[in-house]
Amino acid sequence: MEFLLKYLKFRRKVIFAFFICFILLLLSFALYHLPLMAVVYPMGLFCLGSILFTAVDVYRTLQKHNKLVQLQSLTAELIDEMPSIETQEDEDYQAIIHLLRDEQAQLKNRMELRYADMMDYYTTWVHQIKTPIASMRLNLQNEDSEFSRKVAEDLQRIEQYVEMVLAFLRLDSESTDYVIRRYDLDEIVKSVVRKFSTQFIRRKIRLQYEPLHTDVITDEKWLSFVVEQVLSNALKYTQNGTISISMEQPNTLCIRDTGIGIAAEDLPRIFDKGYTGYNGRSDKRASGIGLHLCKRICNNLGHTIKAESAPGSGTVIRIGLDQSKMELE
Amino acid sequence: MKYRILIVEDDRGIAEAIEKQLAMWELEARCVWDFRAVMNEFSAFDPHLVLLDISLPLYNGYHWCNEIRRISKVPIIFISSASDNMNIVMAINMGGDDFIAKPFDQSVLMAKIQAMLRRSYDFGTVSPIFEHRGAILNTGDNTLTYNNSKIELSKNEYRILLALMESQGKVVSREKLMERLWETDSFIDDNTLTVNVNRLRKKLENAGLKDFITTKFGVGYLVG
Repeated sequence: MEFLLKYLKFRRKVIFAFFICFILLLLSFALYHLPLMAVVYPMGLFCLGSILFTAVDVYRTLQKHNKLVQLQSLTAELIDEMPSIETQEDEDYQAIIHLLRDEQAQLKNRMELRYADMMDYYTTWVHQIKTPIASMRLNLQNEDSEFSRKVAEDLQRIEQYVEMVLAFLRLDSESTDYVIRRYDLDEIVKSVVRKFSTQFIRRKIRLQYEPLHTDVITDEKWLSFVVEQVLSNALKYTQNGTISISMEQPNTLCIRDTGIGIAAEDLPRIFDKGYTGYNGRSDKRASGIGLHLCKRICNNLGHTIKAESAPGSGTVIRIGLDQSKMELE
Repeated sequence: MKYRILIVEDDRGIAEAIEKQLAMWELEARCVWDFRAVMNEFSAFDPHLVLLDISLPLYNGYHWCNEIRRISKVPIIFISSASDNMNIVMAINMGGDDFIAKPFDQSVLMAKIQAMLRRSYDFGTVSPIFEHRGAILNTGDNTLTYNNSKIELSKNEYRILLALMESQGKVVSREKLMERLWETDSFIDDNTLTVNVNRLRKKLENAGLKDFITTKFGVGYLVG
């Protein structure tokens, strides 16, 4: 019905012209005093013809309209079959669409090239920077002083930021490789913990590690990244005390600290991008990206991540390792 | 006889740090500096194991791995910062035996080298000899030999003694010792270290090695 009204509206000029002609004809016939039948009969035929013609036109316009509506739901690349050209306007509009499509394709191509270039460069950069880091780390291991430990700790932080760049670039990119299989969770967590050994020891923070004895189906690198971020936060916001790592049922890795905690109003938003909260704002290094990446990685892996905290007494991060949403490919 | 290890790594800092560590473990190491003549160096040195970086000047590590594989079955361990799965698969397919991602810990590298040598060659022990006052630390089976008797050591005790005997005559800080224990997943704290050291001391004392470990207050411990 809506279509019919619109049809009448768009064709109002033709319909108006038709009525004008009709009235003019009737008028001139009347003025010539032609016999009534001689007028009514051809006029009736004429009207019938017009109605038939209009009906066919309505049907065809509706068909074309439906087809165009269908095209609207497609992306630019997929639009290649246009309805047949019937008017000059059709032709012009279709020419414009073709131009826009080409332009968009070119733009997309260029963006993809630039993106690939950028990815290439950053990946190279990350590998470049890892060599001096490796060199410094090896040399620092031959040292044994408060100074070397402080430097080693900072170096570890640099390393972590480098990993974050890589994760940020790779997450959701098409070239990301996931190696989903069964891993020993202890292996993953322990290797992350080892990275932080200098920091734990230097700052005299106790680690309470309960063997996890759990196999998880996950991607080792990505899960390691998440655990690393969480542990790094725990260390950052704990001045003295204990960080404990344990398993909770069902299948949840639990990282608990006795740090400053997170304010209740910040808690719901700590996984948002760029959100730093009170703790982050007082610590200028916070970028608000780490936990956001964790959340997205967990989503991709089919894991969950949740925070619970009481300001002043500590924070618990729970990583649910079940594969509820994951479809194995 | 000493095992010979060839280091093909273009970053001097890393190559030299590895060389130093290998020397400490009584392994003979040589670094390649002329990356056009890796094969000459290889033939001349005839190593028992090759450490190979992937990104090198001129040709990459895969190329040299291929070249080496043409003439030798020597174990090859790749060391690279490009630790994507693709690279690891590639390295192993090209004939590499293991892959270590940079940045790595010295202890990890040493453990992998030792394991590889143990598997590949069966002559003699790979282990270096750490000796003090006639007591010999056996790196193969976590024991200490003194006066023809073997003293069994726990994992932590062994690691502590190893760290101390590796740098004989130098004070090893408590932090360093703890770090060494953390490397093998003993996430101990200060108090536990004290307990471990005291227990070790008692063991040594019972075997006739009184004051084998000297305490430097506020710093750490010393052997020698």
